[in-house]
Amino acid sequence: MKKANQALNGIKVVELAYAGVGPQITRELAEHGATVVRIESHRAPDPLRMMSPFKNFESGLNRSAFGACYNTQKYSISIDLNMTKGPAIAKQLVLWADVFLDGMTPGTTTKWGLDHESISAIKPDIIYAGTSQLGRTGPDSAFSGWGYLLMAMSGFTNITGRPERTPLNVVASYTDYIAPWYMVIALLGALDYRNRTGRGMVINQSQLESSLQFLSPALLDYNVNGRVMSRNANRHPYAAPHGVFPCRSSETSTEQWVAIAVFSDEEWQAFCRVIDKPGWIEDPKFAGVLGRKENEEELEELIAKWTEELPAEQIMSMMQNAGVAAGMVQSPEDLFNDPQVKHRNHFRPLEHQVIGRHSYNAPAYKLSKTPCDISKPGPCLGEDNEFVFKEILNMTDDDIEEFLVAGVITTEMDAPTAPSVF
Amino acid sequence: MDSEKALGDIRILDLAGPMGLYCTKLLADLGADVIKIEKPGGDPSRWMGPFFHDDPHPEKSLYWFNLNTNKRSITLNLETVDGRKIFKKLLKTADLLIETFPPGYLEKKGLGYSMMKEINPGLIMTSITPFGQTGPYKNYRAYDIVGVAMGGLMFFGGSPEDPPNQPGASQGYHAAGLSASEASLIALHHKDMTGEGQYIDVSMQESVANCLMWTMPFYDLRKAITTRDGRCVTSPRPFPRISMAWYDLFPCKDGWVVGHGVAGAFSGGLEAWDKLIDWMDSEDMAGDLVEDEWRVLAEQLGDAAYLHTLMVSDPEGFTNMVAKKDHIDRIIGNFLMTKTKLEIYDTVQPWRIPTTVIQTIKDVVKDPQLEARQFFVEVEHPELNATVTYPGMPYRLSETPAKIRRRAPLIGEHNQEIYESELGLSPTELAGFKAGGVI
Repeated sequence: MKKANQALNGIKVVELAYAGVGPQITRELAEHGATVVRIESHRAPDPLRMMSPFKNFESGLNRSAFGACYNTQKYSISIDLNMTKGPAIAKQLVLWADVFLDGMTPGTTTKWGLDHESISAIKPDIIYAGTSQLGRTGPDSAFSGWGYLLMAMSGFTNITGRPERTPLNVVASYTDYIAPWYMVIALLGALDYRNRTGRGMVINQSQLESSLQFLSPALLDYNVNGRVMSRNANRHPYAAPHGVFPCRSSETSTEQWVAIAVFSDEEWQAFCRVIDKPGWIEDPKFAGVLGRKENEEELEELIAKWTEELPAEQIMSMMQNAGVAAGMVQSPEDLFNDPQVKHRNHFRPLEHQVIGRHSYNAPAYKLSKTPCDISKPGPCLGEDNEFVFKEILNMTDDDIEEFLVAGVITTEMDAPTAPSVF
Repeated sequence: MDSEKALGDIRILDLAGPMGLYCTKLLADLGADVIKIEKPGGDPSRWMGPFFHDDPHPEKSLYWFNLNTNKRSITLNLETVDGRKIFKKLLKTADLLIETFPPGYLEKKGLGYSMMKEINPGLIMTSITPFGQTGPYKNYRAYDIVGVAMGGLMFFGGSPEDPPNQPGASQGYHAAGLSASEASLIALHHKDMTGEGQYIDVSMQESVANCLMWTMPFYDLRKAITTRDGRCVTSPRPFPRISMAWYDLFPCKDGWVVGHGVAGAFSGGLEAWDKLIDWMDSEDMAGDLVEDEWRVLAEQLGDAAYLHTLMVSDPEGFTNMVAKKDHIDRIIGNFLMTKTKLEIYDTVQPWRIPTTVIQTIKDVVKDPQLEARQFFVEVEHPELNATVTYPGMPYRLSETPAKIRRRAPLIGEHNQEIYESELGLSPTELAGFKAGGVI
């Protein structure tokens, strides 16, 4: 199933995780050639499998497109870790693996003997990666939250928005989308060390500490200068104009906006020519950044009068052709139809056996010699039991039958599936 | 080779601007030897604020300090023939080159990837640009705000009555830097295994688009577009906002808190509801929420399966019911106004009401969890006679901890070390290059 010549061919990963962060980490490894086995159970399914959008609005463990997107190229097995023989199967996988990813609430894996100490005792060179909201130590380590809350804790919510209005969220569970990238980096660093020394290690991630990295300049500004960064809408302390401007409505959408940012004198001159206001180049009110910052509100109103008359796409290309940075505020529909995004083959449709044809997002980077492989859709729960038990763990049909009868290998839920969010 | 560092055997040449400085910082903090190549006089990013004691100066930019920890700096003018010659010498010693020039720029200077590969066959080169190296927008320019607009993130930010709002703190640049760092390490692993280098093409627009996970499948499956509603988690049309009670941002006595539903799927359910109402009632602020009717309603509002069925079978009843969330939230909101953010957080967390403080930058610095984990670290800046407190590392590796070993370099601080000791230029040659504006 796997293509040869992928960067991470030969790396073996066991994933025990739920919700957004853990699965996304191993997904990125899998798409570059690692063999990833995801331990799941019908009795305690990953909440992402229960989140809409579902195929035809009907909930079901294998019907969520959102859940499927996190698991390209992985192998899903279904075992019940709460039954005596469940952890034994998991430990067999540990012996096979290079990396164990623990994305459960801190402490959860201890009861199964799948905590770092137990695992490194049977597999000393394992790389054990644990990710949680607030880290494994400290007074709030057991905090069980969601990206929506972490976005607020890490400071994003308070600095996003207009100064005269309420704080704002960035988008859904924003920190859940950036935290995985950090762990991929840490894991690859640990693999480099392991290749050289043969030694494993434990990696701990506090998703709060990862998310805070984006705010480092603001944290330094507070520590050094005592300044508390606050909401500033779309304005920038060293640039004007810097914001979004309303554009003419299109056929499909009544609201259209274009983002424009002007930093240098050269850009300012080009900008003035594009909007046909060459007089502004020399106008002392607007000529320098300081002047434009001082008269920013007036400037923004004047610019909006010009942008209102034209479609966003046209403004973008007029500005870009003159060397001014500008871009549409794109909706999901715009993104799917964006010629550049299409050219990069970013959204890739795959045929999922239950959901049907739906799109998976590709990484933001293209490796010339070892490109990503996005060909296996997110698996149904337990879809790869046979492959993993036979090919990786060398079980016989009789072994498998025995586990099935005992219920260690799970095949169905105890209760009907109900969506957690619709 | 340094086995105490994760990337102790890796050398990286850094030709990056703001879109890529974060990528090389991450790798330097993990232990790679990153050589920042600045143009004589210093990199333009040194002029980006905020500044140490608000004094704009190329050796005092906090923005620069943060993005260049652990790097070494040399100055080199790539516009000169001699500059390019020295660069090629340096190139032979590198595993990875990271750059953010517009597509085609290095090619024109005779420093395209195919040419560099002739000098160093195992070289990995990572190019970070707003939209990628090829395609209709490849020559388009973008600052952070244009990246987050074109990547789709800005569309969701803001209140419906206001224009779309950029997320704070350069999310586009950071996302691009993170993606590039990941890609570079994947390629380094491949090089370790095979000796083969490769070329990596990173797009900021796609990096941003990968932060939209939830909203894209909605469009894909249902052609539903998530609306701009920055207070709540947005729900794609035609669905209403998530209707759980206390699923919103609330002002309180000394700031803001955010809740994730008091009696819903993510919380302690009715038990949590009862504790909250008891607390409010003990101060005579529960109003009619003490009545059973509201208790039942709170549970229904948190039950996605129930609501889903109701929405299909009785749309009008559904709309009426969801509107009642406002009544509950108004009474809870009035009560929260009498409490401080920490009182609220400390009280309701143990009841499994998922709630937290909307922290200001100051709150983050004083956060007891971060303090207990010793997240913030002190870094010496001898030239400023100061110790500066930096945010610590995003992850903790037991054997090879990422850390700040050295403050960001001064302009050309390592010229002598690198040009003389490592490349073997003589002091006379070095002086000549300096006089000629090459170094």
